[in-house]
Amino acid sequence: MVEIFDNLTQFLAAFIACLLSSILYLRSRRQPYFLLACFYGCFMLSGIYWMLYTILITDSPPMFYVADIGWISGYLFLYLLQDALSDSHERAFKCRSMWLAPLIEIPLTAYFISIGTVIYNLITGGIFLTLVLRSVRGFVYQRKQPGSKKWYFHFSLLCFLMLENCLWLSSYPWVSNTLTNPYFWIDFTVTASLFCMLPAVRKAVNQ
Amino acid sequence: MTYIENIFVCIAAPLLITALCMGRRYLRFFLFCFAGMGACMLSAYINTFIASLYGASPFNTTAEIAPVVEEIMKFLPLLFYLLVFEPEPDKIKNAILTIAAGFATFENIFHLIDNGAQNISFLLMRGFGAGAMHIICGAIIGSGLTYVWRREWLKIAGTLGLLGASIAFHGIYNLLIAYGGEVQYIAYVLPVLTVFLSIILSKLVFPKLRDKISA
Repeated sequence: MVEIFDNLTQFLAAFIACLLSSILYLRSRRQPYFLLACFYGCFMLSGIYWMLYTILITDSPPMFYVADIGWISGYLFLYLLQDALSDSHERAFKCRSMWLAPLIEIPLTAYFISIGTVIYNLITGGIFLTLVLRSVRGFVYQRKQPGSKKWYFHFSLLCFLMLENCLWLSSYPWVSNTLTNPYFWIDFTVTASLFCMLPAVRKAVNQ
Repeated sequence: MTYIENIFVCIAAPLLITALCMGRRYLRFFLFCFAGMGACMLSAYINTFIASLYGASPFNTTAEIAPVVEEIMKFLPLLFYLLVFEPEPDKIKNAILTIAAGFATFENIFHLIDNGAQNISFLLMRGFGAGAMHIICGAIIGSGLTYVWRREWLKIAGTLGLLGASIAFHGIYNLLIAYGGEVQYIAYVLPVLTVFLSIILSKLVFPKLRDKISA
């Protein structure tokens, strides 16, 4: 029951955010809103699939989840969104904090590969490494720019990515369908961070 | 055993003659239609191959393998068209929709061969449901590509992203169908409702919103 509620809230959050970002795109015709709507759309579709799968079927499939493909697509749109919101100076910027990305993502990917599928975890690990690296770089760079509001976006994205990592980490050691399982609490926070990305992108676009 | 390639020949032959008679102007439509049907036929072979490779059950084949294989196969003729002919953005949408329609038609023929054509009310629902689902998946890719294909840096990641979105939608439909019972009727209604909603939004709501903004 908790799992259904958790998935339902995440689906609704993604659906509302997709609708709002689509309206923002139609009103302003700004590219970041289109990419954000695509990200939320992918997340929403995967969310429905995952929710239906957990309700209708109890066994895990022998090969892969279709929902995983939708989530990877969502991350690809996040990658494009990062690119759309950065300028050439930001892209050329280098700092030591960027090393945090491989330091976090490589051991995590190795751990996930050791307990899960190789191809999926390699793809997700690679995308997450790139996203975290660019988020850290963007955050550090934008914080140094006086009056810049783009750091909100990088910060919200970084929070979302870190929470996703925590979610996957928590999904293996705890197996319980009650609220005592930290997995659900982390997933609720992921839902909140997912929704927070919309105002953060809005701030970055309106700057 | 179903000789599906023979059925393909029987359906394609009169259409091919019609295409030749109607001239160059309509040739593109028929070619995309054939491409959709051919993609459907090849998908059936690939689905069977992957299912036997993984030892997947019919349920898992429908819910997990088919959405991925079918969407990729539907996308391949479009990719060829995009890379070789570099069409105008407005032509991309029509191309993928025609491919999707050809695919859905041939898939319905598969269904008729396997399950017979006695129950007209069910077939009506199935026909509209499957047709609408393939059209929506095509529309997701088509409308997205017209935007994504204009920008160099968006091309690869954007295309893969759109393909993933259409796979997810197709997956939801197939999952509900494979589960069967009352649930499959939701699957048939869902894409039809989405098509109607999209038409209402694009024809009525969005133009008004655009006028309001420009005013």
